[in-house]
Amino acid sequence: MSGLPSQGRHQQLPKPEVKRLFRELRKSGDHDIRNRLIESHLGLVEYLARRFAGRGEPLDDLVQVATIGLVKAVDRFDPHRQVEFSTYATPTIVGELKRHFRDKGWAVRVPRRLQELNLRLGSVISQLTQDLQRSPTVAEIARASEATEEEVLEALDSAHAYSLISLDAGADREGLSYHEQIGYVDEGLEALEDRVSVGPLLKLLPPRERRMLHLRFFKGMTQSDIAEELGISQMHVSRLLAKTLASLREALEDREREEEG
Amino acid sequence: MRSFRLWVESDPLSDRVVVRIPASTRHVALVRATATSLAALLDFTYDRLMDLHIAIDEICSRILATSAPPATRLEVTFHVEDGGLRIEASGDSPLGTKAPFLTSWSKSILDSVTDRIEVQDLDGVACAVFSVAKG
Repeated sequence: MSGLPSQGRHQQLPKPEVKRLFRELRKSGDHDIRNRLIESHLGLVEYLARRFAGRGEPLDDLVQVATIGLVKAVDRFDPHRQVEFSTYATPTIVGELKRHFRDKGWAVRVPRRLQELNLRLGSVISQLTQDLQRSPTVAEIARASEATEEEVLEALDSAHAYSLISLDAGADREGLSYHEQIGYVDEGLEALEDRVSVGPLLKLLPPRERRMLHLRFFKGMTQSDIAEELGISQMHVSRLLAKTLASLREALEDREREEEG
Repeated sequence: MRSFRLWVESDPLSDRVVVRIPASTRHVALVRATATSLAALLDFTYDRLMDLHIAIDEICSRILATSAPPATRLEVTFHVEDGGLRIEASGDSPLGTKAPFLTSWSKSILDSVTDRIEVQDLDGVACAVFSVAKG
């Protein structure tokens, strides 16, 4: 894979040019042509990888996995078929991404109905919290989203299904809010005196995640309060908290193991 | 379908649900799912449901991280109580001597998300007992 061009400077080729290059590649097996074809489709790779983002896997890893799918598609595509290369490559790349999740032990196939419900739940929960002046129950969420309680629970679970996978705390980056940019002193967090200290690990977290931990575990704020304070949805807060805790837990346990030799 | 040797027992007479799973993070999802269903039945708020998840993840991972020799299975018992759930969780192997069962970090987390937590010593096996109120 060392011959792979780097991302970022890829420019899309016109479709007839893609066809022409493929025919030439099949005749000559020219390495440069192969690379050019791969490079010119990295946009598609990134687009597809993004559709799988937010499930607990860092985007960079997903792009890498998707690129493997692209390379396979480039090597297998028959230019004499009456189909565009991008049409041919998409299922191969998506297949590679799905396999990646399956290999991690998780079924990636969340039914569309649940995905849609899941997307809606974020705003439903926020709205209810405002209306009720407290966090809503599952029954209340179900009523407001016109779904059954079972469906709501399933949708919530699908949102958290990946939270136990090893996580890169920076995987889901949004614009930094005002709060995060002013920096942050975390008194409570630094006062911890574990034998295997969590302190240095906390310093590596993005400011928003660190602030979230501080507000939840040292200021005792509820997830709803934090959502309001940071201007994001409760569901997002619970996802980020779960992710951050999982990544910290993993790093801490690694250290404990190292210390024990 | 692979066999996971998972075991869930619900006891109608004592308002008790017992979940027994192989000791691995993968299967903690079943404990969480059971907690979710019970919490929904009991009308937990969303916030408290998420707190419950965090508590279960934290406790289960501490059991897995600290038992020596490594636990082979994990047992979690949910007691339905007025206003919430009381949960007992333990592995089937004693607490190792090296790492503390709860680090001060885990303790901060658990103090925030539970209403009460204590660790009992059952002949060398650590059993975490904690309560989460529904609202």
